[in-house]
Amino acid sequence: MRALLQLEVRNSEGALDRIFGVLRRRGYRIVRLAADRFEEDACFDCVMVLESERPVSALSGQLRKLFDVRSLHVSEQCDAAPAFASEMKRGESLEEGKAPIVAVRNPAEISAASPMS
Amino acid sequence: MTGAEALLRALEREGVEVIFGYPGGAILPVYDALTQSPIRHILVRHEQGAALAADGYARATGKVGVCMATSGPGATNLVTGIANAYMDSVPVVAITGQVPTALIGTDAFQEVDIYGITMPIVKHSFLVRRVAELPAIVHEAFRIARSGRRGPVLIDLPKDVASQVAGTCGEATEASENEALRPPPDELKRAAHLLRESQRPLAYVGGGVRWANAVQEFRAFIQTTQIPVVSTLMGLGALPARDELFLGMLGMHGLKAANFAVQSSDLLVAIGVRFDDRATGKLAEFAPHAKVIHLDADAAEVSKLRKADVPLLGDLRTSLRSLSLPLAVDAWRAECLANKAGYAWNYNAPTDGIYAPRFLKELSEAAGDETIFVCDVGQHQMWVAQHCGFSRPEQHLSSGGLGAMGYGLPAAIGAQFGHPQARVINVAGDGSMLMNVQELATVKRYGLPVKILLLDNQSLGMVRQWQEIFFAGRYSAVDLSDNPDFVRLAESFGIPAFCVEKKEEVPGAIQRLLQEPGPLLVHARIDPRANVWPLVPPGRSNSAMLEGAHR
Repeated sequence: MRALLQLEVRNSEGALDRIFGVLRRRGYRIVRLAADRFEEDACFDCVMVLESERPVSALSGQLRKLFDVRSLHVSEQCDAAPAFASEMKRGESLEEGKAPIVAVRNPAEISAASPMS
Repeated sequence: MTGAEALLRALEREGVEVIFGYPGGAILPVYDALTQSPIRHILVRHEQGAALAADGYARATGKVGVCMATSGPGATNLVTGIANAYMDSVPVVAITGQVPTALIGTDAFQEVDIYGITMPIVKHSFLVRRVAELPAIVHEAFRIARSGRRGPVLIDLPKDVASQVAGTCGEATEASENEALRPPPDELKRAAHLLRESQRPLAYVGGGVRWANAVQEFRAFIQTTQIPVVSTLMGLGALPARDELFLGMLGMHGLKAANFAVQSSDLLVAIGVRFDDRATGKLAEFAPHAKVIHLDADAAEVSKLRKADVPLLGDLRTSLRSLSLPLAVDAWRAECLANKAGYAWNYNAPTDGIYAPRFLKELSEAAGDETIFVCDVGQHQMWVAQHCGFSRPEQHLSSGGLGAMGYGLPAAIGAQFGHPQARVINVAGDGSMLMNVQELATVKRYGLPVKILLLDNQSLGMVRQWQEIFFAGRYSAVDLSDNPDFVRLAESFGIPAFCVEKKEEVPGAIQRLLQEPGPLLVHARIDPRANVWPLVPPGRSNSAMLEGAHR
């Protein structure tokens, strides 16, 4: 099974960790991934293509109940995936056809890890 | 007001009366503030005891249990208890001290990423970065812990935030309580239709019923429909065990009448259950002829393992009221009840020693409905589930999903603080007892009248049983014949204790367990070869129940 997931995630401490943890633990592998912040950094837009031997329906329920997940759209039509790089704000810096990989850090985490700030 | 004081003020607003905890460096500001707080702090002797006591308090009272520990090892010692609450959907708020924010991520003394470590075993978690957020975070943590499907929430509090002056910092942002979803009317109609059409309907009830506060509606549903009931370990007590329609626990150590009813039913009304492997056995052969109506608060559980023909998501009470219809299933009910009578347990085992199932049955009957039984994990846990009768779910505390040995004593302590007047009996095994034996000091310190019935088979009995049956008797690391002298051990903590080993001694032991005003440990020696029957081999259908000698 392959599926395309589009999520809006509240930009809280470790929110993406939490989502990736659910994916790993429940048996879903990330094939492509893109994420970017919006709403003055309060949220993440996250798009990913997953593969698994398990149905995506079993995952969507687990993701929807995470408190940081504000919305989730699931499609098993992965043909939609070619559009996904261009949907991302940083897509222009990427080679054509490849998903952007965005290093995501919570500003609070950065300041905590750096006593100088 | 400091952050620590703001934390305690926020906990008071949530109605917290007791916290189970253990102090340490990073949580010192909170312990300092506790000296001025009306909240009672209970010092356990290991942080795992704190988390499990909070769990026991929550299960016994229905309130949110609260535990607290310092950073690093204090926090990691909470982990088993947090996982236990997660697996059994118990509302617990765990508060951990953390190193100062500037040191987070520097491998500071007693720093661990407890926020990251616990992510898979909490419903949600917070790392408090700003003192002004504390009241809102505490309020939100409690709301999350006790809404929908219950579960644990972690609040990680850096020491500098706890020490920081918070100004007046009094009020939490009012977040409205989540209103339980109401199942769609169309689905309710479809469910009612399935129920009317069914010739062999069966209620399969779990722990979700009590946490949805739907016990009364569940009982009314059974009263009206008159359909037979099987229960998971977590669901015991939802219908009183003495009710004629109660067939017993299903699953790996389920009673025969219960498992046979599931296998021949044509409609399972699954209420607050998650089709756990210990309940279903081989999933593909579980209830092979049955359609499923699944009532649950958690959408992720419906059709997770067994497809629901009709999912009823949301408020169980609404669904149960809607499905309370008189049904014409007399023949099916009679068949189930005949099986129940036919497979009734024979308590006259051919032994001069103590037969644990009989001891537990007699103790349960004599103890009455107000006694709370708290199990550890292993053979004795299954015997309690099979042979003690519960009249309400809060009467039976057991580590189901996680199966955490050492649960019993700290959870009994938590239950006793929740119900100071109740009789609380911890049924323990000799393996489990030594996992949290340090909490005997907590029993003594607070003068708790907790009773302990220690069923000692000088082995890790459940593992030994599996090695006997599934590993051709190659016993590995299960011999506990060098156990300490449990009577002297208890006495060294200042707790009276005595030993029994003959069946004639059982009535006297029961009498003393029920009449002793203070704490008591009864050390009951049982046959090391005793096994739990029936047993469905792992991965097999529930029809394949093994039976063996009763000792």
